[in-house]
Amino acid sequence: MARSTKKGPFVDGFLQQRVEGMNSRNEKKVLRTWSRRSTIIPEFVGHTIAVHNGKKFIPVYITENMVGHKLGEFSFTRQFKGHSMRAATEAAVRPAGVPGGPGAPVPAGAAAPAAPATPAPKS
Amino acid sequence: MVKTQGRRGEVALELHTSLPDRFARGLRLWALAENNQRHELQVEEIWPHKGGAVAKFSGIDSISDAEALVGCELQVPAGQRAQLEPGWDYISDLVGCALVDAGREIGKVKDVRFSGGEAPLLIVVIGLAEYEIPYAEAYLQGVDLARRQIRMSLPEGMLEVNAPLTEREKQEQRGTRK
Repeated sequence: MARSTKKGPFVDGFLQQRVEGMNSRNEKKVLRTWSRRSTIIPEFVGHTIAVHNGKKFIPVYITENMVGHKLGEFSFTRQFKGHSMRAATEAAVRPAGVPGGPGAPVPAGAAAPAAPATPAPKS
Repeated sequence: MVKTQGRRGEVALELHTSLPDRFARGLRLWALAENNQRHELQVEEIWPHKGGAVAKFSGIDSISDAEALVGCELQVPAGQRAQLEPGWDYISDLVGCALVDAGREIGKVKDVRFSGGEAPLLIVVIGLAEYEIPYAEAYLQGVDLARRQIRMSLPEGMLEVNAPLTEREKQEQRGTRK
């Protein structure tokens, strides 16, 4: 069952205070937290929050598309080792936050892009 | 190539590429077998299937021919890789690059991992330790593949993520902080 909208999103007070403090000082510093239960609010966007996964802190760069999700969703507690490939694969990455890339701001009225996007080859 | 599929020598493929659309009829690929032998194949037909693809290669017309291909890796020469749009880089190009923070080389990229967040994580080896650094535009100053360098401006605390806790953080962990 969804949380009542009357209450608003849950964010641990100490985390919110620290982020708001950094925003007021225009400071970017990696915050370490155990608060996996805190909801990501728009004030967090652009910060890197290191979220504990039970063993270590995983740095999570917060983008607009992550607002409304919990911090714990982005810090996996289990690791899939995957299938090993002997050769280099043709997988590509793009930094988060670039226009048109994963985590880029979405213009008002446009649908949020699915991340990560698949690159198109040059024609 | 995962398994045989169908009766005419088709094989099911598991795709490890960001560019699945480049597979088309007539494409020439190299199959690397487990005994490190390579042989050339030409795609006769290919279609998507359950998140992967099914391919039929020229000259492979029976299940027994296809069984010999199971377990092989399909490869293209590095020079024939597809051109990417600006801003995109192949993971295999980033691996091995030096990470330069504020003009100082701090370590080498060992791997790129996709975590739950939108920013892929660069796994950087600094000394004996491994650090995870978000590959985000906000921190990235440039990628120079010719010099094998990734220039970033890392925020304070990025390399001390797993350092001993401060008194304030201990209070937060215990949940006693108001």
